[in-house]
Amino acid sequence: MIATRLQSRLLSHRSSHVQATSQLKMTMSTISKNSDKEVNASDKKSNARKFHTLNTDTKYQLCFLRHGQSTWNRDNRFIGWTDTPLTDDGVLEARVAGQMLSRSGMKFDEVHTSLLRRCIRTTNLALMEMGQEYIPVFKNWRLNERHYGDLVGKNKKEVVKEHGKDQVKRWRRSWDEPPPPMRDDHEFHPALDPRYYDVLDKIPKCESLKCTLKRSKVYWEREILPGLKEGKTILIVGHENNLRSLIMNLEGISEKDIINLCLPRAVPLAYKLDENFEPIGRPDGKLDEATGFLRGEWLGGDAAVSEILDRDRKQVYDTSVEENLEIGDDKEKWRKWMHLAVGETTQPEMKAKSSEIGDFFKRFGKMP
Amino acid sequence: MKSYLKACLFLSLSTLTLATRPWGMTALNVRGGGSGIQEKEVKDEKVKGPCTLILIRHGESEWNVSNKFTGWYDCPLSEKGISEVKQAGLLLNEAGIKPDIAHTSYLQRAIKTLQLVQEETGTMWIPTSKAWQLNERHYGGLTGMDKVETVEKHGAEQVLIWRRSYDIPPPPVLADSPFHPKNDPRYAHLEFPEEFTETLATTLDRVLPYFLNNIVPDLKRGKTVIVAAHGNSLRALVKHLDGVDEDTIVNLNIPTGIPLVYHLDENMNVIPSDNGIAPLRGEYLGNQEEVRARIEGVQNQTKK
Repeated sequence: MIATRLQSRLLSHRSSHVQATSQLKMTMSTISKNSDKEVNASDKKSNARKFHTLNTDTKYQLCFLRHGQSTWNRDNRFIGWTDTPLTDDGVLEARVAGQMLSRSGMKFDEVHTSLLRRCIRTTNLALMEMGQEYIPVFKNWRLNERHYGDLVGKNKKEVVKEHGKDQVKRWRRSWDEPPPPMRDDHEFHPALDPRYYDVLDKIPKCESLKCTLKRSKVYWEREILPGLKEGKTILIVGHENNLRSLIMNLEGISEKDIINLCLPRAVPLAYKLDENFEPIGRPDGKLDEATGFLRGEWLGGDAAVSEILDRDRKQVYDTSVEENLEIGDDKEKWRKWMHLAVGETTQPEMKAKSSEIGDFFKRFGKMP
Repeated sequence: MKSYLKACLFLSLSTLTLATRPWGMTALNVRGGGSGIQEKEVKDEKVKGPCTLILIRHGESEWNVSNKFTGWYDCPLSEKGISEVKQAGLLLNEAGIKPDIAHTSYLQRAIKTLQLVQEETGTMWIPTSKAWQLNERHYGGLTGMDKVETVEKHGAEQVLIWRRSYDIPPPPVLADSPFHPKNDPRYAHLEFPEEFTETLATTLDRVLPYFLNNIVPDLKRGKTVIVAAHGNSLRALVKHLDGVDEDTIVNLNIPTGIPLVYHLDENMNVIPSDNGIAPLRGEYLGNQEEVRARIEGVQNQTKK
């Protein structure tokens, strides 16, 4: 029907534009999908990799990214599924992460993230810095942070003072010891939030890492692994414990050892994968120096990650440190360096720092 | 049983969308994306009735400011554009409208408009699809040219024909131009003719199937859908919704950053609003005097 309408418009048109419009007749039929493109014969990887990824400049296939600082990260409170927004520092962290990704040359085909705004806004800002805002972003409750039960809302250091360092470490990082379950009348109960209306029967009262892995693994196997098998390059923007569960699954970290793995905010962790979707280690065969567990590469460098993890550990467990390490003088210094790297702005969503030099100029040697 | 029904639903949805769905389209009809909406889809089947469609044209962009033909060039929003759309979010809040599902184009000015509206309305988590079919009309060889200069070069009448004709195309963009879609990786999965340009007619030819296949099914389920798009892609939509004729649609100005709300019945007919500004039967939110002034304002771009 559309073709005949185009035809009749063509026939009734008497001006000298007829030639040009006949070109247009082809438009709809020739803007077609290329999903049936032949697999490149010289492609030595698995035949299943038919997807033509945008990531042609690097060998990375998968990247994990933890969200930037949110208000309760700054206030050192247990968050869980509470939908806390990013702080200004968090916005800066997300933009810096985006710049790191942009400079690595990685291009993604899709992003998977949680339903929580700290991750979604981190995704938006990182994609902006990479110039890839157009790619699909899948959001799912299965990538939400581990549910912190009744600890949600409480100050981490206060809880350490009350229950002791070891108990809190086990609640936060062990394999199968969940925190106390959330009361039904808890102020931040997820059942009060409309976004979970269709999974009310799946909302846990609390979760250990084992429970988190159980639900995130379903998503990994249903959505992420098939995408990787097709040849897609995937970014997962998530939360510390949820990412720990996925990384544990990917790296094969034991239940005994997982308690010692922590992840920093907003530093991309990029993986190269072999034909079996196992991580390919670093060229020197060593694991990362920041955590000692990972074959993936920290795009910010191992040293930076070590510093961050050190600060995070002191922030929660070191009761001799009274000050809040998420704010203060060191943060001021960090902020100045970051502003140098990504530019200072009152409107972070407006445009990417990298767009000032930009893809366009690199490709065509001139400004538009 | 439940998974069998889910499989049937998935198959029927994917058949509907097969003709127009590039890999770039997300969530809803592809694989379990979104907040687990597909996990309850079967139970929602019987819910029908009035639904809400919100259309919003992206805020002022940098090339609006420098008065260039933009088309598919991915220019960012200006500072004014950002505050326009933040205001739009507040208007939606005041009207008590919360979208359930979102659609936008591949262009950052529309995507960011949607993101900022979602932040204000607390709906960042809703399933969001990005579709090239909702892109602005491509301006062919005029892309990147200053509107005033183009008038000086080709004459006001010719430029008016290119801008406001329903089906007379501007000169095409050539394959070696940076503005040809084949030179942009986001369109790598599509094929374009060597010389490419669009009219409002051909824009409608790509927007309408997308609307019917991907937006209408959710509207029929009673969902509130928000579409953040561009002047010409929204013109195509309102032409369909309000039955506007070709001569009127080419002169219709949809002001930037103001939510345009339609209520539709179960048969996808528009329920005319008391505040509709003819020929549209949907309602622009906000101060109506200001809205009318904004509608007039867009006309003056080729005048110095």
